[in-house]
Amino acid sequence: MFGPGSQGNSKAGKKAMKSSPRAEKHEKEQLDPYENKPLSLTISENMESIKKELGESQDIIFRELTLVDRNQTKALIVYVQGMVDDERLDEFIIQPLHRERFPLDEPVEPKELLAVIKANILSTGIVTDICDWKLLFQKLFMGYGILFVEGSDQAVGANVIGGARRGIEEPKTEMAIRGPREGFTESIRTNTSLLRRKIRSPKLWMEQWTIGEISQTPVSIMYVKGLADENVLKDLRERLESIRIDGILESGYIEELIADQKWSPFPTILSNERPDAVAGNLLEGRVAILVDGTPFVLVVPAILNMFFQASEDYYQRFDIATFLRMLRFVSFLIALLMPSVYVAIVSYHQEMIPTQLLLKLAAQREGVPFPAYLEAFIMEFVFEILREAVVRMPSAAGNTISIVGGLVIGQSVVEAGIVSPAVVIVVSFTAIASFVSPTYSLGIAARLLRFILLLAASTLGFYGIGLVVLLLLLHLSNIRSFGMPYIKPFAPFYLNDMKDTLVRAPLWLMRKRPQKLGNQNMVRQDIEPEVRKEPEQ
Amino acid sequence: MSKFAGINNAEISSGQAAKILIMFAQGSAALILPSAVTAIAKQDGWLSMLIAGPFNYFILLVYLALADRFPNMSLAQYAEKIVGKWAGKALTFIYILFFLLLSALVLRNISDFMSLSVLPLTPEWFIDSTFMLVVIYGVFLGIETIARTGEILFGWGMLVIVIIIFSLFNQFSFQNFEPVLYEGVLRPLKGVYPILGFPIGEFVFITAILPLVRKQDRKKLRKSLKTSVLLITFLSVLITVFLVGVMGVDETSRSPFAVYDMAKNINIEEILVRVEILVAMVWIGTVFMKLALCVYVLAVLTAQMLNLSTYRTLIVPYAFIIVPLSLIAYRNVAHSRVFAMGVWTVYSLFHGFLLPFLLLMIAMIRKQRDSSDGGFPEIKPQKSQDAQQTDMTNEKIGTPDQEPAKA
Repeated sequence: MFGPGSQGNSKAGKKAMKSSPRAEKHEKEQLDPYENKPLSLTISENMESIKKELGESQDIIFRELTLVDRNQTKALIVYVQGMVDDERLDEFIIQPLHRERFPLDEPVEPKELLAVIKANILSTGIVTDICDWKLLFQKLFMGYGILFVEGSDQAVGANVIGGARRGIEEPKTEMAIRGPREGFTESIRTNTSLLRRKIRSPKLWMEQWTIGEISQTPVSIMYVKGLADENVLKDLRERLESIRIDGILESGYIEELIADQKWSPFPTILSNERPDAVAGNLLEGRVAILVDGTPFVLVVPAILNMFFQASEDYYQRFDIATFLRMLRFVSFLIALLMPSVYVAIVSYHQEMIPTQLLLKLAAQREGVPFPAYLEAFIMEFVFEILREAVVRMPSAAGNTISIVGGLVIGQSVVEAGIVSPAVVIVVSFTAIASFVSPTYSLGIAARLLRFILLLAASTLGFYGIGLVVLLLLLHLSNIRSFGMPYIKPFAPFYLNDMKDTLVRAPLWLMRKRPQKLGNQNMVRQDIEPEVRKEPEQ
Repeated sequence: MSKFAGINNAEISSGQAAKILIMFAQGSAALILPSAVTAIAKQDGWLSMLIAGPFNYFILLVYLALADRFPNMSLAQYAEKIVGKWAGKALTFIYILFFLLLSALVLRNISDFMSLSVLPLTPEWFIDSTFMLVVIYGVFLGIETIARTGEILFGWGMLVIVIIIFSLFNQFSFQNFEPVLYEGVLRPLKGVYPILGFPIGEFVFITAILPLVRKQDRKKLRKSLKTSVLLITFLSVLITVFLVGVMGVDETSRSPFAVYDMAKNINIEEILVRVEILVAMVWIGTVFMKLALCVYVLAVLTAQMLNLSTYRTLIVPYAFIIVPLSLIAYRNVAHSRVFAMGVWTVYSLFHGFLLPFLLLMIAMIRKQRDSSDGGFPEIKPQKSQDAQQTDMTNEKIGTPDQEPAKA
């Protein structure tokens, strides 16, 4: 599994070591009890301490063995059952320790012995020296096997990470008809390797942190050196390092903690499950944030336009892709505005409806006891309840709910004359339109804002809608994502970037990368000079 | 936080400045002005609009000449440099009154329009206050945000104009323009009079915007402003031509909001009918831009006159003045017509042309140039007290002729 990615692994290890002093500096303020606490010289004391610290948890396995050197030194292997690959542990650590002849004739100091074991006997890819309790526990719970030797106050950790994890599957949230079928998984190493397989360039760099005081979650950023904006990187590093939280369980935590706009319904960070989409963003000069334990990778800086792009747009012909893009924009507007526009027209601007339709609508509304805005509110609310119910239910119960929702509520409410059929049509059309958005997080914004718009439309008609839309525009113009104006190619207006917004221009026309992202290097095609021109860093 | 934290809300591009100017010019004028002009010039109203075109740029030349001499300062700041501290402050105060009245009038325009055509039963003060809330939010966010919003609204406005123009082709009649120049060239010339005050004289707001244009865009500025003046002229002529062509002179000059009434005529196969609400939506946007710019300039000029560290604290107090002022500014729409066509031109040209022209003359005679930083209020809060003081001393040193000051 780690075969082709081993280069990436070792590099990652180096980076982790490099960045650890930074992380440690912060943790000193927290007075970490394990920080710089030395290991004991005897195995039994170490074992007792570990047992004591971990409350004798049963999944911690202690394997005592005797080495085959002259002194018959005692050794101890500690690991967490289920987090290591048992076969590799046997094959690469225990067997060599038992069987191999030690290349030593003289009895040596335990410390030297450890070095010899590390150099000559352990046959795993990554081997780490451990000299304090903090690192010990960190490696232990990453799935390393930890080897203690009698008489040495150091230990060695060997990477035998394993155990059951979900394999690479097709992403659930962003399906594609054409395009790669693989999606990110919960393992950060698999995810970084997926990206490396897309971009096989030495310019793809990675930095890693451990975030979460208790959860100790590995968090990496990946970017293409020379394309990513250094200012964004600097900003991102600062923000990641300033996170103080006890646990990171999903990238949503990171997203919420580092987002520029804490009080905006619009997402300023893109989360994505598709390696190809993330790789495409890296090539445009953006930065990916990978969090262990979730298949959702974050991309910054994210502008509004990106939430309308599906990776499939670039695999299909440009004309159909353009059509789909526009369809998505229009659907977003429908999902946002349609109920409020209906209410505004029916209650304030009836003259806009053609006469025939007006008569139909009036006939429908005959005998409906509620005003139009109340009808719309009720139906929207019912729809949101239905939606939430279906999402959280097991799929067997989902069918029942859709029958109850569709038949019982939809049909009988109309037949009973409580709600006019037009409202049901409007609400269901809005619902369908709201599912068109390729990114889930933008759809949520539309869901919330729909109710505010409905309120405005029912009090002030189109004038109210106009005011709220103005407020939204002002808000959108104001917010930024890592320094990038959120509605960038539209305002501030960049003609060149417009090729990848409402339309998807043919690839042969998109010669340049988006402006103001990786401004060191604008040319996207004619790739040749790009690699040469990189500034030395 | 880095410079990307969104604090530096004070740089716009030349293109944005041009779009701001277009939005300001078409802001409230597009709906009201054509009927005033056709009332005077009859079917030759479009000629008046055409003649007025160059004046749009002539008046900008004065501001641009002043901006060349004082590239980083607004009117309030170079007025103090040119005519002395106290006289400058008095001059700024006159402008503050001007913009206060202008804001009130613009706000009244929208509430008149809403209560006459769209929401007849809603009280005016409610429309005024809700609109003002949005304006307060916009001005509070700063000029960059306003400029970006303006770009979006500009695109939307152009789209709606194109839609409306295309849907009205079938009702266009050239007979409405005949006879051309029936009473000679004098009548269209008279028609220029209201245009000069509204909106041309009001362009003086841009003296507070020009110093915010990005340094590297300054060279393009003249070209962009020329383009925007061309577009303003083109739009005014187009609108007037279609008004007269579709509705005829009588109806156009009688209707208080002519473009809105023109859009009522749209009827395509009985399906696309009565889309005038689209015009209303565009107008809400353009009037918002004009009002936001007026309030912004008002607050900035006041802050600069009083040497405040930020203009933002002034917005809400001003809103409390503007809303009541808009309700008592005039009695009704007919009154406003007389005011706009008679009094306003003189009042607005006094501020928009005469005073800046005099300032320019004095500056030219005294050969004053000064490229020192005007210290825009938004940047100041980051600096400490000492930094501000050194800033002031710098300005004092900078005042004596720094001759080749042009960057």
